[in-house]
Amino acid sequence: MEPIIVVEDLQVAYGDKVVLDGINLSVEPGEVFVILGGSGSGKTTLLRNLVGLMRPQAGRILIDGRDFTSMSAAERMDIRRTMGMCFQGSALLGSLSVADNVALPLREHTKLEESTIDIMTRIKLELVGLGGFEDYLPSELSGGMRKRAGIARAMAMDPKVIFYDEPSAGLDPIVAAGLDELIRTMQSTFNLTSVVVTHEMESVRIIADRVCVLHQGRVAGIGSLDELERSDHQYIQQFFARRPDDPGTADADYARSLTNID
Amino acid sequence: MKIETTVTADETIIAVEGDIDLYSSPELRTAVLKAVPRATTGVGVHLGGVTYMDSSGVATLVEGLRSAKENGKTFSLVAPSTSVMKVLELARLDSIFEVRSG
Repeated sequence: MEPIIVVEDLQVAYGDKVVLDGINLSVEPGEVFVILGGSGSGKTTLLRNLVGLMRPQAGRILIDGRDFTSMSAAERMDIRRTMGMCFQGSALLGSLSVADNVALPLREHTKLEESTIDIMTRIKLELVGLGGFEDYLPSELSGGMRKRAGIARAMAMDPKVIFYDEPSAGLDPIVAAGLDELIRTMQSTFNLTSVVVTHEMESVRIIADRVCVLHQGRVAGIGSLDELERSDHQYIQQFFARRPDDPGTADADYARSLTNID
Repeated sequence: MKIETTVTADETIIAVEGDIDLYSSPELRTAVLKAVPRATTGVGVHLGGVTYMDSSGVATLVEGLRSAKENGKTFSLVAPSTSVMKVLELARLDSIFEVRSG
């Protein structure tokens, strides 16, 4: 089976600062692919490029074999309709009810009747455990419930691929475990391809089929968790062992950042 | 998606083939909501040839069931595949439909 996402030699910079430097990876249909890395590793930038919120300086992203980076705006919109994005802060519209937030993409992008949309919305909310909360405003929900509502909205259009940006960030372990279970259930029932950006190792152990570790804008390793745990890559070992940076290295980095002298 | 409606003395059968998704489900909805009030006793939606069904398909079947109840008709799903049943189960709507094998 062909990969659903292929990234080739991706390069992204903010001004002079190169954030992603020659990224190559592929995501198989139906897998949960985790992008793992510390703060500033480039994982959120990679995600933004994958969903088309940013354009790279060089390289290509193929979605279903089509070059997502060079296509027209109309073609990109077609592809984006097959994707769901679950943002870190949920990005729900505060003035709309939970149900209206979930229904919004269906009203905007399809010709479905309102009665069909209403049932679909209720199905999605039931799926994420928010049945009965249709009329609540986002501000009336807890953090975990807002995340779930965000997933329901990302699922509204029955996407082929769903992207999650730090789904468990800021949640207590029980709520986070519930979200992990939900991600797996979605994957197994709909054969949904999931790309998850996170640095929560506990979640990775539960949800990941394969993991890509990013370090300083480059791929440090890609494989199953078992394979990566046996990796001899210094940063991967440090990340998995939760070892802090050597203070000497941190001092040198600090001095370098102030003086611009290598 | 391909739809074929067959009217018999007992029941109207709507046979569906292919994918039921956001773009094809309105056509199925039209066929179902048209068939239900005209059916003698009820409607059976034959899902044996369905290769994929998303939540718009589930919603369409729910609308068909609602319409059948309002019109005093039966509404059943015929020969749904395992993947169709899995979607209905996940939506926790598998038990509201009468399902038969063929």
